[in-house]
Amino acid sequence: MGQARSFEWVADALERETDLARLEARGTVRLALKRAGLEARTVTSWQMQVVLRRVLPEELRRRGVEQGNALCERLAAHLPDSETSDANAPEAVFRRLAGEL
Amino acid sequence: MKTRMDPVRTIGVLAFAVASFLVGARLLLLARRTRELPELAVGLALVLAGGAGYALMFASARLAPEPATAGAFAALGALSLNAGAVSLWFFTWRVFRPESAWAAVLVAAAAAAAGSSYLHELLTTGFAFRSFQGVWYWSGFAARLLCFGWAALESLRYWAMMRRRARLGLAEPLLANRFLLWALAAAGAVAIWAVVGWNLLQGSNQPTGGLFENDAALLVSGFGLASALALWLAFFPPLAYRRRFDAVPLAAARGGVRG
Repeated sequence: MGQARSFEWVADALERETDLARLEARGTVRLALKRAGLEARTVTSWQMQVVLRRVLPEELRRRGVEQGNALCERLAAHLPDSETSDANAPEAVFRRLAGEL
Repeated sequence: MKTRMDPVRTIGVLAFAVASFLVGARLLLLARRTRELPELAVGLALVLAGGAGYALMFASARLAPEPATAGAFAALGALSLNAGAVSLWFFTWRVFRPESAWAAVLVAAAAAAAGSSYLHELLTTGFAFRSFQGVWYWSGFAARLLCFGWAALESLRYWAMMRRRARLGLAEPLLANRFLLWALAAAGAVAIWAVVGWNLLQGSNQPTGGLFENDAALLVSGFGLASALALWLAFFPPLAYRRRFDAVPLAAARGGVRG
């Protein structure tokens, strides 16, 4: 299975707008997702927006990327609203199991 | 002394069996409404492996008046335990590792082990005489124990992820806690099965694996109670328990943070 579209979109944008190479850009986004308890395969657009605003700026700062905050804010504002929550994701299943439909 | 201790020794496993049965039955009703496989799989796992399986094995050991009846109870109990274990393997795979090839192979291997172990005993002894030895028995035993172990590990892993999400407002703390409770309930079942395995390795030939017959029974009772409590809190959280998590606000509303 491939990665989520929002992951690909953010990784491509970082590669385009910073000096990070492709692997570095993808690795940076992956690390930010891991810190947020998310996975590149399943992250949704709204989750990615939170990561862009709250986690990724710090990861970019560590890698010497200047203006990381502004870049992340801009990406969050323009992130396509492509994915919705998966009804079969573990959190969705465990919500249903407790009767929270 | 033994008579006075018996209720203490049995209450934990009984609580686990009752909680499993009730929670499982509720999840099966839910599955009928949602038509979703995870609810069906975990409902069957709890009713068969946690509820009916233990009850039938207990009946075969304590209540059946003659060997033939006891054998029939044991055959039904073993069928129930194995079917429940396979359901739990399936649940963990579909919920936590649906895209994983190794997980699919693992589940297939576990189902084969549980099925072949059961058929071997059915065709050789017909459950009239329980033999707790040999590769056939232990492969089935491993499938029944490890289904809970895998469920606990995957749920713990996901709990760690959900805690990180909760700190960012990406998950409700109560929902994150539910993964921990499910892991604890499964870990309690692992502990019970581990005691059974230890007793059998020590030479116990009791149909219930010596669950109620020696000093470890008190430990088992404790594991059973803890597991039952975790299961109940996970899927029937009382209002007071829910309120413990209400004070933690979600930073981002589910579905979007724009604006």
